[in-house]
Amino acid sequence: MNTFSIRLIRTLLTLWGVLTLTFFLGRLKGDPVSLMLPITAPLEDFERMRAQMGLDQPLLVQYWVYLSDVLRGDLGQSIAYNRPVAEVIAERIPATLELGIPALLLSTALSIPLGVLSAVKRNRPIDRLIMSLSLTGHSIPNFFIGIVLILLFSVQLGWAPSFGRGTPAHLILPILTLTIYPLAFLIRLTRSSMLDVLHQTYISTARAKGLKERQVVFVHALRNALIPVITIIGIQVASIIAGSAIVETVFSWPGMGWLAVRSIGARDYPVIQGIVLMSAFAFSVTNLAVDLIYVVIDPRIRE
Amino acid sequence: MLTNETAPSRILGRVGLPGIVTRWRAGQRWWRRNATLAVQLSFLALALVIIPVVFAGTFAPHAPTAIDLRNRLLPPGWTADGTWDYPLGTDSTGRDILTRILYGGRISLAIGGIASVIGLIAGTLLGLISGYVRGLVDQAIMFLVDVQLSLPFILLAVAVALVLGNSLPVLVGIAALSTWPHYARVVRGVVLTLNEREFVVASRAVGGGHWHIMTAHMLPNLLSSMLVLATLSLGRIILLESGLSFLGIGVRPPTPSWGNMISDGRAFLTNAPWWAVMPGIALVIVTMAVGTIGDWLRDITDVTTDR
Repeated sequence: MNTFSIRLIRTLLTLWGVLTLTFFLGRLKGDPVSLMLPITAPLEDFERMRAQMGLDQPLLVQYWVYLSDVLRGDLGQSIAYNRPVAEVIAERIPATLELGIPALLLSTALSIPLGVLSAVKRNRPIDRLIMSLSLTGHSIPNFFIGIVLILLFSVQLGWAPSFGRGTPAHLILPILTLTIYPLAFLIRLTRSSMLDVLHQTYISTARAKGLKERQVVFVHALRNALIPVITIIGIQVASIIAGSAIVETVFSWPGMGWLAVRSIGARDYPVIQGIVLMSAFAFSVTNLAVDLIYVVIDPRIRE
Repeated sequence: MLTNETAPSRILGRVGLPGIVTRWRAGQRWWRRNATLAVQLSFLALALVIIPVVFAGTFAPHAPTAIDLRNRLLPPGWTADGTWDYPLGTDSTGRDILTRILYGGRISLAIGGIASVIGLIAGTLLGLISGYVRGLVDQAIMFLVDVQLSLPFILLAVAVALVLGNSLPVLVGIAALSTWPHYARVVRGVVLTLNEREFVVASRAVGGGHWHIMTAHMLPNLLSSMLVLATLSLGRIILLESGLSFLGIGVRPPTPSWGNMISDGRAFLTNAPWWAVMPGIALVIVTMAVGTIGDWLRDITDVTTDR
């Protein structure tokens, strides 16, 4: 369990690093108030806001106040909504999860069989096909995938609505768009991991014993090949959070990513800061959980 | 001291005209043996895009911001309503899509190229120091890598763009920032193995200084990793730039970039799909070709990358 506590400390340190980064980033140009108020705002507004946010205090005091506020779950006040940031973000989380969780499940569920098939049929036409599709998925920016899907399925065929949230049909295109990049990435990973395992001596042993190829692939190889794939699912969470900023914008889906992009126009730095923190937190916690699973399923690192 | 006489270096050693011919033939043989059809096509596609983009002034039929209000939303030349004056159609103010793709490509590729080089230099240097010096410095640099990789980068980019504004230098800076952790990680890993190699140990034993060991003995052994990473990151940066421009925090209109053209064309998907689709196709050709070449370089040089 010692490896795990070291990982826990590292995670906490990383989160502290992210907190520090976003704090000083907001003050990089001196006064965060100038980021939030329009240049034409009267001087009294600037003064009032500075006092309200404690910006008349020394920088280190502000930093300390900020850290202790965040630890208490207080992410500050949104400029555009004039409500606590935590509240504004919390309202958007369900919409983001509605897309993110299906995308994560779908990409994992599709990528493993495709990756295994590709590895087993290495250099055959089916492998070439899967790998070129995966490269294509890897090379198309996700907003362009979204646009092409809208063009195809909404404009041309009229099968699914192109924007908004409400009916289950609204979910189809955004989930599909969000799935493609992690899917393409996971296929490549499963394939290379599977190829590594298929070269191991215990696979030759299993074959020499006269086991059916099916058993060799699915019982002996796949179980071991999945270990690195599981660790990557943590990274997938980050790529889905990042992808949701763009995909939610393409489909006008009112989630966290959409909120972040909208906050640029409103110069709402506290909200963006909050979203960055939340994403880093989600990512770190997932990775910690993945590490824990890793220890459970791989006895080699338990000692 | 420990030179390893290999076949290519014997060939490259010959001088004069016969030498050049032999070298050319050897190069051809090597190319035919190693470059698959996909790789050859990728180089061809890249050349077909990059040459007109670089010489946009010569190839472009119009000026990038020239407005032609009588020819708004004209479809591409091969359709019934199109004219070959505007081969890929026009946008809502009658600007030529092909011209804007060529000029936009300049911006996108320039940002990708410059940011890739900056990220490469910074990341390699930090990875080299991290792996060579070890100890607290190593811990600190790897901590920064961890912090950055635990953030969905596009959100960090949004925050930076909000604070610093979205000028071109900021955009290049953001793009460079996105790549350095990958370089640093991989380079550090290679340096850790190099630390124990005979030629490094030998150099140290005869009194070679740190700087000498890092530049003369380690750097040449890092070149193949750097080449592979730079190629792969170029594609990643082009994607990032287009994403940022799409979100409205990248290249600012009226300067065209592939990302902001796709973004502008999005509102006209029903009546003028070519506006968003054409620059998208150009973008995908480049990222796919670069990706194929990057994968190929990685396979033939046997470099391990973290992603």
